[in-house]
Amino acid sequence: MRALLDAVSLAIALLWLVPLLWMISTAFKPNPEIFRLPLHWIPEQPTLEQFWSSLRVAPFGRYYANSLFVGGLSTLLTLLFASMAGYAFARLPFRGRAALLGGMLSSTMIPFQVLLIPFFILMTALKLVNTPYGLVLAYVALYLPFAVFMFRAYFLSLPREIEESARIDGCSWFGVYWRIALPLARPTIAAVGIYTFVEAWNEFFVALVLTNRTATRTLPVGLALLRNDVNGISWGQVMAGSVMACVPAIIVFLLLQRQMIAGLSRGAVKG
Amino acid sequence: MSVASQQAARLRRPRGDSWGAAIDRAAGFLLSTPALAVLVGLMLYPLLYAIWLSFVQWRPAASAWIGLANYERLFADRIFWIGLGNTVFYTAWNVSAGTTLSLSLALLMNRPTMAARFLRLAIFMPAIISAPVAAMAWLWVFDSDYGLLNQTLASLGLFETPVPWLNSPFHARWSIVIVNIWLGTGLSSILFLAGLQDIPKELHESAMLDGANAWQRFWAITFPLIRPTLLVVLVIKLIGSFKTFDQIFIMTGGGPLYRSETILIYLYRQGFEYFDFGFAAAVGVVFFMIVAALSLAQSLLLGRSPK
Repeated sequence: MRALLDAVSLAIALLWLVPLLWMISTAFKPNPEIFRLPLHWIPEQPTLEQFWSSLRVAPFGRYYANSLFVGGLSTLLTLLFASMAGYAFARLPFRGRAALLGGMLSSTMIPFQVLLIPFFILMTALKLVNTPYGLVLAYVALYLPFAVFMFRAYFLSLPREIEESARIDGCSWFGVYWRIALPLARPTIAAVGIYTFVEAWNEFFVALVLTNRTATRTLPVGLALLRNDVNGISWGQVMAGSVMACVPAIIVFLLLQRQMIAGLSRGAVKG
Repeated sequence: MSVASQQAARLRRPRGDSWGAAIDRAAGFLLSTPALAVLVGLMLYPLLYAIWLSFVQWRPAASAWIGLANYERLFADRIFWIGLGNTVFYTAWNVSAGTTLSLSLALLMNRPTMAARFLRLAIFMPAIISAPVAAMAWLWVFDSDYGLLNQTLASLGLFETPVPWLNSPFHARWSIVIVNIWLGTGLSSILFLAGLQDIPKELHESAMLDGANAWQRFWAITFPLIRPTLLVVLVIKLIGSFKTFDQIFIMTGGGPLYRSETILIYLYRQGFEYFDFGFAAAVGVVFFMIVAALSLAQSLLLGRSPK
């Protein structure tokens, strides 16, 4: 029984991976091999030619740099703002706190797609269309509420004693937040940070709307646009580009599986 | 809350200079200011702006108030209804077939063997590589002439003429259903797996001693205990499917002949191909109301607010 279930598991797993394995196989084949029938899985003359030529036709290096910058800056800002607000929500009562918390909560119900049109007009007015900063603003708005709740929950779960003794020693609330609470929140910083970065790295719709020049496009958009090549799709190049686009996320995933699954599943439950 | 504020009051000691003390008293508000600014400036304001836009004929200089005309035009547009219908179609398949498949796979994954671990990794992989990459990989698999799918079917002697998976009005919708399920199963089966692992092993063991077979144990033990997870997965799939855009936009763009159109592709076309911002905003507001209703149903169903 166990052997049978294992065999079924392996068969399903391989079948599930077929599109990805085929993508990788194609990326390493020279052009004539890609279109030779019958199709074969293992490249007979493995080559990196598709990778070089895709770097020539599309500025993948540029896309990479853009995605890295946008993803990095959005993650940094989200972590900073969310940990600050999360700390205030967990520890510091102030006028309007309940209303602000309620507002944050309700904002998770707004699908960002309804905000796209006003966002585009707003960013055009601010001259932020076609800059990484417009995208960063959008991503911070997109991922902040979830991050705030993650930090708030974590700070609520911490014992108060260390912070209280620091207060008695005359430390300001900012000092308590920065020097005591934040270093303690490392697990949450990791989980929220990975989640935000991978989401921003993969985000397509907002990036499609807010960038329309090669110089500012991110990877997913640059990749998808290879489809519209006037000379028809060059499948070898497209598959090589796809492999390059997903390698960083796969590496992060293999290294940090547990945090990433935790972040993604909690992120999904937010609705 | 009251305990917290008492404690905070007790801890609020007079400080050296009054300026620093004043800032310290306002710390809570100051720390939440950036988040407040994002909330108001990048969510609340755009939302109100979208609602206003939906009532005007947008022009760069002076937009003209036209009342409900955008909505009237929207509800009279056949393509909008096709898009909404397709969105419901994709959602129905994701929720029914996608959930059933996820639960079945989670049952397979919930065994302490290498094969089960490998299955877990394989099923989760699509969630990692992102929808745009997945769309490109599937485009190539679905290619009519040299695609892996058609070539495999031909070599098995199943089809003589190549199937136009994405280019025929009939097939496009079904091809998208396949890709949607492929992309969405990873996350939901991981959620199911977590739920399954919370079930005490003793329950299954004692049921086995009582002579219950696997089928009986599933319906008597696993299913009742997995119901909270099932509810969460159903809700995620319901709302997530409504918001699906990337793979459909990349693979078919809503075509051919609007047969795979969704409400979001319709919104994109009105807004960023025709630049009819007022009308597109009306599409957005209708979409918002549908999703908000679903989210509200979610919080009522799950008995707690979304987090």
